[in-house]
Amino acid sequence: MDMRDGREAAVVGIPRALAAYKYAPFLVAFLEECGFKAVVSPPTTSSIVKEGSASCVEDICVAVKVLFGQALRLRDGVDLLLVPRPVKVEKRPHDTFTCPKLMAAPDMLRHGLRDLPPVAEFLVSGGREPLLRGCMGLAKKLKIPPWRAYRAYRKAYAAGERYFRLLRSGVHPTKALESAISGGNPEDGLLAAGNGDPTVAVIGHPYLLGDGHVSHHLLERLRGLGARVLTSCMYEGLGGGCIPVPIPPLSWSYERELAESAALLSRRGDVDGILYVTSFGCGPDSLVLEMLRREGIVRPGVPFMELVLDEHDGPSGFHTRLEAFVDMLRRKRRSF
Amino acid sequence: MRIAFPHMGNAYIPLKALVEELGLEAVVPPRPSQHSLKEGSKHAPEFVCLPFKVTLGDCIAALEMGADTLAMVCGMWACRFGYYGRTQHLILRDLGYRFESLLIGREQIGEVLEKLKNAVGRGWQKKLARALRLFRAKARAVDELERMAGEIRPREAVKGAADRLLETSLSRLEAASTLKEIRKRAEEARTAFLEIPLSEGPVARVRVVGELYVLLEPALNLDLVRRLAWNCRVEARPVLSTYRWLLHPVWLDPKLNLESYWARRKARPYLPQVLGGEEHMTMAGALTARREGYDGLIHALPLTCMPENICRTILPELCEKLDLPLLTLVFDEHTSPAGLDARLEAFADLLMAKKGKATREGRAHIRVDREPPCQGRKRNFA
Ligand code: SF4
Ligand code: SF4
Repeated sequence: MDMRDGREAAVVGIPRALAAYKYAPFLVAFLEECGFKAVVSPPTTSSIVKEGSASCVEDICVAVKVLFGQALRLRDGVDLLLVPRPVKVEKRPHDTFTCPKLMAAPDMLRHGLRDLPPVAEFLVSGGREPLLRGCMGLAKKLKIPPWRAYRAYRKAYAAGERYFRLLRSGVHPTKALESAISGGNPEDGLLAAGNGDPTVAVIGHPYLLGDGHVSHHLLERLRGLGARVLTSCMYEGLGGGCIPVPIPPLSWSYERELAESAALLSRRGDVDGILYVTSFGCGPDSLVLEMLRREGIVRPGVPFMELVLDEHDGPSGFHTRLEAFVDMLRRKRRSF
Repeated sequence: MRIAFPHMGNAYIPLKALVEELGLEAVVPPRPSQHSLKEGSKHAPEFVCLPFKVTLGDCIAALEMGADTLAMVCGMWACRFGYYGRTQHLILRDLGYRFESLLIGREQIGEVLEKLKNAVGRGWQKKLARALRLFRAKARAVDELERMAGEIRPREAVKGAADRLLETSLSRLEAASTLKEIRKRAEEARTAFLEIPLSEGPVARVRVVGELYVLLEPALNLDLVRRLAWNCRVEARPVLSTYRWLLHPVWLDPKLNLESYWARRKARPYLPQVLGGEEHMTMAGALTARREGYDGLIHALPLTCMPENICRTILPELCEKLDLPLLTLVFDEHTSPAGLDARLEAFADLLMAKKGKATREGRAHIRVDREPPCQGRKRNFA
């Protein structure tokens, strides 16, 4: 695909939505190394969500609406859109998947939106080196010679690892993504710093937690209330091992990750309460939440609250619930 | 062992035969209704899809009727259906019910057979083989009767004739206990169906695609097919059938598996990944609708369904390209029949107008249907 029409380098746009919160730093590094200019769309704003909802079917989860809005935002400035399509992202003997909406994200954009630049996909679908396989597929599409793609992959892999390391160290996911893409220093992004009172563990998809607008700035808000915050992003890519309770066999990899981090976080001595962030109408979460509660994956006795994100609800009700929860945790702590 | 399973259309007839032929007792809960839906919604998670809520209601009813084993299929698919059984049984146990779970899936097949072996006793292999044969025969017969009724319903001279006949022949079929008897009952019904007096006038044909339960369970789709037939003279044909749902996973009819394979191939340019639902049948159904003589497409789905909502983002543009009128119907607990009727009528008017225009212009691919019904019953992909 030659799209340069006279310019120096073709511009590839990555909508900041869904699985981009996992793969964007990797992809940006890969593309830049291959001689493209990669841009990630700016953080979500209310107008982006509005545009997205207007161009998408009504009852779909807010994460997909953000994807549509972000893609529209990129429409004019780029030659190609790149959307990750994670399918089999972990090595297990059985088939694993991610949420159907992640697996069909490029298709929804291609056939659901008009006048969009061509949409390329980064397919992560098993194999010995899933990311390398994905890169080679992408390289073929973009006419990058394999040797160059391989070299770029090595560099990109390191960039991806760096991003995951940032997340694991407890940096705010938004800041981690920002610094991984643009190379800045993630100053004061550490959520778990200090010995706040109380400590709240927040569990949710990175594309919800990392999206300030959609999550009503949940993490900052918690910090503002004086809480110390741990997130499920800290277990990003750690992949199982030493989970203290049996996790039900789930074929959704990302939900499994969340369930595992819920099991681990709720058993940490310093965690006072758990917040589970989900979006309105989320398919996998509706069942996984039941399993978390009813199978004792979240340690029984740990306060657990579910927060539902919806593009129609304003932040005020959300923040009231948050404050009440933190107050409750604080009182509980004092009474011991 | 008193086994119960949730309802789906008329699937209970072959399933009951299967269980009873094994010498076990089948508990069939009452047909799903607004009541069972309400019961289920009370205990189900809020955002879960509609089929979960209804089947949960069915399970509660069955347990109240004294079932001690709940059967449900399960699997590690990309969609939620595979986890229904596990989650529902967790919820039911927390509600205080005591029962045995029979989760039937590829991973659990050994376990399931073990349980069956213990329950059935000596000679279980033979009994199982016999039961499966009966099951298949009944499923096939039910399917055929449903199909014929569907074809005659919009054309019948006396409203309700086809359904009255369908009901009596289904209950006779339910009572049949040998292969020979099933064949006889089906034959009788066939002749009776062909004797139903028909009325003149054009009938529009629409294909109904979408999520399995909403397609096949009248309680969920507010009797969509009958509404269309009686109020609008539209023959609505679901792409899926109970027969297909029952026999596809067990490979008792390889034709179905082949069909599924073709559907995936057809859908690949639009949805290359397996999403765990019926998305391939939806896409293939839309792509082939024109060629197979349908005038329009109805896409029916439950509110938060994942695969079908993905199709829903793709279908409008596709249908425009195919020049195929599309009606999307989203069902949840609160869907009102009045609103549905209005939309169906408007859609039927559109179809009729389009059809009239097309025949006047002599376009070949829309045919005005005056041929006697039940001619096309051999056609398989419809
Ligand atoms: S996991 Fe939930 S929030 Fe994420 S895309 Fe799927 S349905 Fe939407
Ligand atoms: S296909 Fe739709 S309704 Fe069926 S289980 Fe999946 S999400 Fe639910």
